[in-house]
Formats: sequence, C-alpha cells, structure tokens
Amino acid sequence: MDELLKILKGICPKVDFAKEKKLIDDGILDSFDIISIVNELNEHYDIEIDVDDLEPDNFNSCEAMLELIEKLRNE
Amino acid sequence: MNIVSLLYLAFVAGVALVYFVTPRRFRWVTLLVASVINYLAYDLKLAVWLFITSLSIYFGGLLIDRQEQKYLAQLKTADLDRDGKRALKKQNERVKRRYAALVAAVNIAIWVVFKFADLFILTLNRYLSAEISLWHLMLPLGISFYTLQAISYVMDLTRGKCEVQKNYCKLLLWLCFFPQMLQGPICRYRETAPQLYAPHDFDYRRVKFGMQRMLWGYFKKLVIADRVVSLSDKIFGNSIEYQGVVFVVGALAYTIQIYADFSGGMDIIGGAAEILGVNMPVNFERPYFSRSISEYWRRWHITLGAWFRDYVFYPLSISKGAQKLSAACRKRLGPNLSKMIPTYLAMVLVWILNGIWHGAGWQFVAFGMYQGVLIVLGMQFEPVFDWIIRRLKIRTDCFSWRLWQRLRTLVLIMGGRIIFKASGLYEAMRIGWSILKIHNVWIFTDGTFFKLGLDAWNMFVLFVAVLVLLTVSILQEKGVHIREAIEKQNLVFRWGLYIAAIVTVVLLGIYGPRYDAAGFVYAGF
Repeated sequence: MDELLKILKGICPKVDFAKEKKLIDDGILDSFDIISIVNELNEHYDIEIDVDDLEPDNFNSCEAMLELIEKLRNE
Repeated sequence: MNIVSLLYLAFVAGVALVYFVTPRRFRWVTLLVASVINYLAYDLKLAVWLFITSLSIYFGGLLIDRQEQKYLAQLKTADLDRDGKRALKKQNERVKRRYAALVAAVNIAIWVVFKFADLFILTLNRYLSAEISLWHLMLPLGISFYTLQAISYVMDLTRGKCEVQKNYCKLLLWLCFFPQMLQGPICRYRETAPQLYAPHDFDYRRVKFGMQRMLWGYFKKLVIADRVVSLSDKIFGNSIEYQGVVFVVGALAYTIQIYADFSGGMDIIGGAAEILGVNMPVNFERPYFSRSISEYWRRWHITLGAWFRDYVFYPLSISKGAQKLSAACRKRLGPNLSKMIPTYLAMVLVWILNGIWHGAGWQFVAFGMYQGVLIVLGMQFEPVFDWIIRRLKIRTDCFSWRLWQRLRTLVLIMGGRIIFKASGLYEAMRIGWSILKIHNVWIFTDGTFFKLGLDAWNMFVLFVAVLVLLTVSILQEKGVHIREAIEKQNLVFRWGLYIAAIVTVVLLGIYGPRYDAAGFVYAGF
C-alpha cells in the first residue's frame, strides 16, 4: 500500500490518496490523471490495465487500485 | 414535433395518460409506440436510417454476445493453463472488438455521408475543377446523437459493461425514446434502458417535479435564449458593420444564448422523461462557474464529453501505439514529457473530432483545436502558474481568486464562441483582432447598444431573466435543491410562484416564426 501511495503522490502531489475514497465520483482525478496513473502502474507492476478496467470503481480509492493491481497480477 | 409547442405539451400529457393506464407489463410498449410516432411525424422517409442503425446494433449485439458465450463455454470445457486462458481471453476480445468496429464503421459512414457529402463535393469542385452537383441531403433527425448512442451500446457490450438486448423492439425504444431524440442527452444503455423497460406507476411528486423542470426549461429557452438571439444574430450576421466592443457584446450574448438554449432544451427533455419515470443523465452542471477550461468541459454537454473520453480518448491514450510513441520520444523529450505526448495528441484529436461533430467546416475544427490547445497549455504551464502564485504570495483560498479564475475562464469560453458563431474562420480572426484593437466603449452611451437587435425594454427583460438564472444557479451551486425547497413552502407561495412562472413564460417568451424544429441550436447538429 505504501509503495502505491508513493507512486500516486508522485503523479498528483496535491491529492490525499490515503484519505480520499471518491477520487473519481467527486472529480478529484480527471481523465489525464487516470491515464498518468494507468501508465505508471502498468510500468511499475508489469501489468496491463485495459480500457475495460477504466471504471470509476477501480480508481475511486487507493484500496480499489490495489485490488485491481492484484486482480491483474493473478490473471 | 417541436418541443416548444402546445402540440408537444399535449403529446407528453397524452402519452403520460396512456402510459399510466396501460397494464404494467406493456408500459414500455406505450413508450415505444409514442417514440416511433414522434419520429415518423418528423420525417417518414428519413426514419429508415434510424431503423438501419437500430438493426445494425441489434445484430451486432447478438454476434458479440454469441462470441462471449462461445468463449465462456470454451473456458469451462478446455483444460487450459494460465497462459492458455490469457490467450483465449485476448482472442475473444479481438473478435468482439472486430464486430463492434464493423457496426461503428457502418454507422459513422452513414453519418459522414449525410453530414459531409456536400462539403466533400464542394472541395472536389474547387480544387480538382470537378463539376459534381451537390446532393443537398436532409439530415435524419437526431442522427449525430443517436449514432454515438448506438456505438456506445456495442462498445459497452464488448467491454462487458452491459447485457445484450435480445428484443429488437426494446432496443429500438432505447435508441429513439421520444423526449431525447432531438438533441440528446447521449444515454448509456446500462443507465437508461432498465428505466425505460421498468413499469412506473403514477407518482404525483415525480410528475410535479417533471412539470416544474419543463417550465424552467421553457423559461430559459423562450424568455432568455430566443430573446438574446436577436442580439447575437444581428451582430454576427452583419459583422462587417461592427467593430471592437460590439463583438464583446455579441460574444457574451451568444454565450448566454447557447447555454439557455441547450440547457433549457435539456430541462424540457429531462422534465418530460421524469414525468414518465425516466431520469435522463445530467448534461449540464452550471458550466459558466468553471475555474478552468478542462473543468468547463466536464460541466458542459457532459454526455458528449464522456462519450469521447470513454470511446476515443481512453483507448487511444493507453493503446500499444501510444506506449510505442512514448518510448520513441523518451530520448529526445525526457521521461516526463514523453509520457504525456501520446495523451496530449489523443486529446487534441478528441477535440478536433468534437469540433467536427458540431459541423462541417474548418471553423469547427479550429473550435475544437482551440479548446484542446487551451487545455494542454493549461496543464503544461500549471507548475509555472503555481510558481508565480507562490512568488507573488497571491491568496488562492478566497472569493476574489475564485472569481478571477471564473472570469478568466469565461473570457476564454467567449473566444471559442466567436470561432463557433462567426461566418467563417477568417471572419472569426477578424473579429478577434477588432476586439483587441478597437476599444469603442462609448457604444453603451451613444445609443448604439440599443440598436443591436434589442430595444431598452427587451434588454431590461433579458437582464432580469439572466439575473434570475444566475441566482438559481448560485443556489444550486451551493447545494440547494430548488424543487425540494419550493415544496416546503406554503400553498399560497407555491402556487403564486407557479402562476408567476407560467405568466412570465407566456407573456415574456418570444413567440414568432422562429418556432420550427431547428430553432434549437444543438438540434442542428
């Protein structure tokens, strides 16, 4: 979790990823942030986040992103 | 049927009446019959294109679903290791995407022919000295909206985000639901379709809210948009006669007009749908309160922006091609910028497409590029702006800073409106230059202002109406739910307000020969 938080903080330094639970629903992250996060996660975790995975539920919180990473790693 | 007509009001009332007395399991059939009648009433011949689109997504959907079932069966029966499963999944996605791409291509081709055939012929005639006659094709009603909606269905099906609809009539209803046919919003199947098929009972509160929303829409359309149109049409229609500040008035007038027109239409449509128990997706969230251009586009024509984001921007930005481009740029541009280059390119392309969607012509391409470039520049220079703010010790947690950001964004929006409304790209540039060069502020005192299309009385009515719109918008921005707030008031106040609103629309609405179906700006797209 700490590793992911560090990556996310590097992309959007102004966002409190540990606290926010509605990053997409509340408009905290925009589509540019999403793309930056996807590219970074793909590279760092050696996964392939597909366009089908770009759902608000998968990016609303740090926990949700971690869950997505785990799911894609186990596939 | 024009949604600004007594006939439309009678139609909505009639459909609602029949809907609520129809046996529950057939209520969706009532909506389908009403929607088909509504569409055929516009144009019998052009309706064939709507049916072609609906059939294409129906059969496309069935093929995609058949492929998915085949994949699931293979997954169950075949003894595959992890890599085998992954390969099978990839192959399944490839086949489904091919079907979706075919359906999308057919529908885009139809749309392109209707929208751009004459522009293409004109270009051929001009540059290749050809002498081809123009086709003068009539655009099928709502084609720009229902085409995008249709594509979203097969795309979502491919991505597993909605269930296949095996009943053609139900799918047709989702595609041509009568309130939204003219100018959207662009609905997603999984959000709207279940509401259309579910039987809704009569609910006094919901019907009342729907009627109130329609009334608010008529206020925006008839009292504001159709009044201010005289101003913007006169200034931009005779732009050769004017200069400087007059164009600022024109740009502001058109900025007000297009919002009142489009969002007013959405309120009428949303209200009519609400009466029937269907909640249309939100298309506007007080866009002129935005503090940046990117925020503005998240609050203006939301369903169109979301469509381009989900079906063009996201797939392009995270595609293999984007990754290759990023890797190729890394040496020359460094790790940070090289990562952003594909995203920026995808975004500029989205904005060009967005511009083209609005109309055939270079000025619409320029309109799209203008928005895209502003957003890219805003993002790229954000660290510089932050540095300036820190150095100058500017307070950003106060009203004056937020007001400055909103006014700055509004000016940029007005710049876009000039490109959009001017008779051509060259004319838009001439208008922009005239604003920068000539500062004839005396037009407000020498009588010119009241000769721009609206006399003093109409200017006053417009001012008060815009003030009402602004007040309501500020309240909504602060989280006040206007209809719920009215509901809590005493009977005399409530009915006084309703009667005042109806009288205002009836007496102060602009009625005249403008009332045809094309009267709405966005209906023309």
